[in-house]
Amino acid sequence: MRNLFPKWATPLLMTALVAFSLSAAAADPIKIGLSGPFTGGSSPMGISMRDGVRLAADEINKAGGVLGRPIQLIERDDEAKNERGVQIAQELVNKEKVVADLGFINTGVSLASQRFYQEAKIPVLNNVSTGSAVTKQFLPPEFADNYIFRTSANDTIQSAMIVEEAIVKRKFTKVAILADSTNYGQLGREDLEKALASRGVTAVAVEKFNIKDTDMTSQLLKAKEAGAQIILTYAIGPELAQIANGMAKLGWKVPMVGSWTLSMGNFIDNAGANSEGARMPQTFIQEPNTPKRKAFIDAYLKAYNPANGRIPSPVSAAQGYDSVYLLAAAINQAGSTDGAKIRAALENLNKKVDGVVTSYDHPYTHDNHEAIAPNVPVIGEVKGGHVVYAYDEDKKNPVHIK
Amino acid sequence: METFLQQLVNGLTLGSIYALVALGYTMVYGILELINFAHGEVVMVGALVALSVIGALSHLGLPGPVVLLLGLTVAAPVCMALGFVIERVAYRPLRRAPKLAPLITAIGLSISLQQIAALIWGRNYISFPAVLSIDSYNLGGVIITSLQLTIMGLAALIMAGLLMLVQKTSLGRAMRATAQNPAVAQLMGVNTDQIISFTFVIGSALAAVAGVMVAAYYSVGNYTMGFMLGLKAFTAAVLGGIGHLKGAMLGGLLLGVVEALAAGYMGDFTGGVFGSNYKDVFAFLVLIAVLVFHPNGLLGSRAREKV
Repeated sequence: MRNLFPKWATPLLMTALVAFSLSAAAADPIKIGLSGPFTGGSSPMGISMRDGVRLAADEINKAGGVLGRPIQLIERDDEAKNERGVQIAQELVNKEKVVADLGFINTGVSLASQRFYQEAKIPVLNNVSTGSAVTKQFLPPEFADNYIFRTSANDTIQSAMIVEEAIVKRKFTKVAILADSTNYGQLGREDLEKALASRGVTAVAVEKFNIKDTDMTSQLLKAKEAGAQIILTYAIGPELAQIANGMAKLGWKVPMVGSWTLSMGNFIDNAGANSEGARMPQTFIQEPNTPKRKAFIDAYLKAYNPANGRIPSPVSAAQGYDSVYLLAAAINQAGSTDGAKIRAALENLNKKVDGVVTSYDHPYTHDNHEAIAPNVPVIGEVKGGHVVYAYDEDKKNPVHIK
Repeated sequence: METFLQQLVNGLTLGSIYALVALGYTMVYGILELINFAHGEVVMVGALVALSVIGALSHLGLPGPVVLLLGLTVAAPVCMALGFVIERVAYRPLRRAPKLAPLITAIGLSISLQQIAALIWGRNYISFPAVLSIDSYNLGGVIITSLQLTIMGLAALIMAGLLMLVQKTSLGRAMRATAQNPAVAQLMGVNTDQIISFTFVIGSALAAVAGVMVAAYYSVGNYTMGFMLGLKAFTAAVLGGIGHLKGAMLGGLLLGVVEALAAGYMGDFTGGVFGSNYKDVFAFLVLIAVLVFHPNGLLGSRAREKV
């Protein structure tokens, strides 16, 4: 049989193969886990966070990557279920061997899944989970180093802002709390009650409901009967919409002020006109009031083209976007993908990271893993189906630095 | 007192919807002694089909009730066809199989229908477009909306019509005969296969109406919405006496009221230990209590006339 290739072809092919494998080794991607609920009631947050992360990762990869290597995102849908979160954490740590994880929307999923990363010394940036306990799960002295960081505003900060808005700024004295029965809702309710107590106020009614409940009229009637002038909420979009709709059914309208989830697209869409006027703490509002924010919003809308030109959860998208730049800065500073080195770099970032939410100047220390301080978030308000600044001075003075 | 009456009104609205769905369970049980666990999913399909139609029509500027009616006129035939197919494909081949077999098929079918709906409509919440302008009336402090009145009125009409159909028409007589003894009914010239199909189709039509009501009342739909609703309606059917039409109606209304009052007052009675989020648990406690103390349900008797 005649040889198919001429004689010179074999060495050429070999060289090409060697060169190819060498270049592949040089550009070996940096694997970063990306987990959150991409389906179900929490999905506006999960999807926005994912898309924000993808956007930043694409930008970084186009600019040459991190340490000369591209970022590869390993995306997993945790369906907002604690047990899925645990499975995914095990898979990402043991099988995919990710360098870091960006994720967690739901406080419950964070608390259930984080220990796998903590044990494997892999840093986690909680982009959306707000439960005050999330970054306090692995503190010294039991754990020498804490690998859990956060880029969102925690519930201690948010509940203080909610109470300030209701009691101080708007001078209401009779408040009702409506919270869902998840870890998120109940830990948030505790924070709210503490924040109220610090202002000498006790809620006149405290009511609970479950995820997927559609009828909130009983709870609202209790609040109405107790004489509530305002409703403070800790829940997620679909159930929050049922609260707003339930008030309309009862012909009773009092203001709603609650955690940042009142900005979720599925709250605004499902409640329609009943969502008007709801207020909540926000780290980011879809308003191009800085060049950085304009670039981010334009890029997001161009890449993902969301309905009505509205990011489903702008806060989640912005925090997700910033988290990649924080992580990339830490990996560059560490000069390595070793988890302990990245953690040390995060805790002492020498270079300022200019983000969408804020400008991060030493965002973390060894003992403080919260990137957002109480002065960073602003109060947003639902107006005409969009979240806008509730107070003009915040809009004019957009960047609050920790 | 006002709050109590308001809870009652809300409970009756919810109960009317439960009753319509419970009728579907009870009619099928009356004739086949089969629990059609996929019935809740028929409600879900009805709601989602109607939401899609209403969403597509919402921009045309037609009056709200017309859009809603158009949604229902599409949803009802879809559900009736679905009910027909469910019986043909999943239950008829198993009619002579041990009783456990169709029960398991029913559960499998329920899950399959949910997943198919998730593929068609996605896993996210679909919101009800703002096509209805809802008026509310204040009756001595109790607020009742035009939508609530429509739901209760329509449910009452449909239930009255169904009773007429079963008790006064020859078709109804054939249904009752099939329920009492299929073999003898067949000997008397009743096409029992046809009657069974018809029962599924009627039950599914009621489910479609209930689905549209739920979607309009709560302004959202989702592929999992039928599961809990189906379970509650089944509870209502058992509460009233399964296989008994009036029982399903009574059971539905009662369960709606019990649930609303439980959510309203549970916190007060238990000193805050159990909050209003335990209302579902309460609904199922009622089911257990009925099964223990009055296994045939409120209106059921040992030698009951079925359907």
